[in-house]
Amino acid sequence: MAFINPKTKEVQTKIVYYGPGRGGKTTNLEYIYKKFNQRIKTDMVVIKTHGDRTLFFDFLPFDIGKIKGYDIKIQLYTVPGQVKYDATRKLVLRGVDGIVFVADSLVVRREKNILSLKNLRDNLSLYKKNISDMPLVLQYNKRDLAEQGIPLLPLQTLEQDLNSQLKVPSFEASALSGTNVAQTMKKIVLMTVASLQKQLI
Amino acid sequence: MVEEKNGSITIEVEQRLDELFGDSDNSSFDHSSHHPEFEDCSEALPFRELKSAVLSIDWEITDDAINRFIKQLNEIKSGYSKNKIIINMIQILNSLAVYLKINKGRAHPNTMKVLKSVFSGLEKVALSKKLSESEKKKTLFVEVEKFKELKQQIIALKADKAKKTEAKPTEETKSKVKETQETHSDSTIHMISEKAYRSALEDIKKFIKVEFDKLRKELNMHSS
Ligand SMILES: Nc1nc2c(ncn2[C@@H]2O[C@H](COP(=O)(O)OP(=O)(O)O)[C@@H](O)[C@H]2O)c(=O)[nH]1
Ligand SMILES: [Mg+2]
Repeated sequence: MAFINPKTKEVQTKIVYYGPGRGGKTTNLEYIYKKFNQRIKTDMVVIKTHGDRTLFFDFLPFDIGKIKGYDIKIQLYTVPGQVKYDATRKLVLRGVDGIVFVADSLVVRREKNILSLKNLRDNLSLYKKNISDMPLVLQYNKRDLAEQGIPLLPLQTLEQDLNSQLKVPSFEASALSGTNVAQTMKKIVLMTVASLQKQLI
Repeated sequence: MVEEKNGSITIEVEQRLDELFGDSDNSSFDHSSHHPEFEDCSEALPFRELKSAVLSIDWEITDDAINRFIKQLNEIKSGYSKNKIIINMIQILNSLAVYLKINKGRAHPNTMKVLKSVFSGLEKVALSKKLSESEKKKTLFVEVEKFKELKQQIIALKADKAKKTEAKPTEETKSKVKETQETHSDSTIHMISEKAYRSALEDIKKFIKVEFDKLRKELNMHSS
């Protein structure tokens, strides 16, 4: 649940980037940080494990300023993708208000995407939340690799595998080059704030 | 999913987001190359192949991926047999590949970083038309230093392992702790000041402890 403080007129929303390990969640946040940190004046916290994999989570907080008299604070989180860190994933999902599911477009990652989405469903149900009631955006990442002749899942397949029931907004993206990274983030922030507006007014 | 019936707040948020995050990225994919000046020449082709092999190794260290990488290195090598700088860089990449092939996931965690860096250096030296001879030498020098440093780290890691084979902390927890301490030197962490980093780390430690306690309770509730 978003943290809304009627006294200070502050709203804190928690948005989690979820998805299989190595899919590009951290790269999304890094891009946002590198590109916009001047404007959003924030620090990013990255805690890494062996090599360059996220251990606990990455955390990028920023403020979008006052809307209808409320100061809106956004917190972006990523979760570690590897199976063995499921406890951390559960933890990070606690109190989540919106989710970006970052799918890996590589053909060889098809199964991993599907399993990770199932894992998201399961972990949300632990908090008695239903994935279809949640502001959610899908991102099909690493589309840039097509240019290098690396086999990618066709969009249709990704939509079929991941979005045939959910029917949520989806973006092709390249977190590495930044294509559609801000778009994805803007969409989820918008959907999340919209879903909170009932509580705001 | 999200009803847009009260449009006003949505419009306001949208405007604000546009102000903050602009339309600085777009949805086409024809400009994603990092080195546009390298494009359009046939010399670039073998390097693109090599890059794709680097990426495969980065995702998963398999024999297949490494063999493809080594094969491609040899191909490039034959085209540059008189260019000492390039031959040197290829040799470094070859050593790194062989080391990875033997050690796979147990390889020193910095190996991939160095490999990617040497590859970028090689790409630059071979394909950038603007680079002078002395700049090329300097690039080689920088990469050689990184390689040497990694060799020292590998030796230290081995010595460490040998010393503590029957020691208390497992290899994994040890390397985790080390990584967390080392994050300063990491490019991402360079972005934030040391003080901010420390206090954030403290916050997160506290947060994790509290949240884990809550989670544990909650899980107990669910299982009972
Ligand atoms: N080519 C390409 N590589 C990417 C992209 N996004 C991430 N990567 C690479 O994929 C690897 C894993 O990314 P990371 O953000 O750490 O994944 P995470 O585990 O989901 O946080 C890194 O080597 C990234 O550089 C992308 O859009 N295109
Ligand atoms: Mg990560």
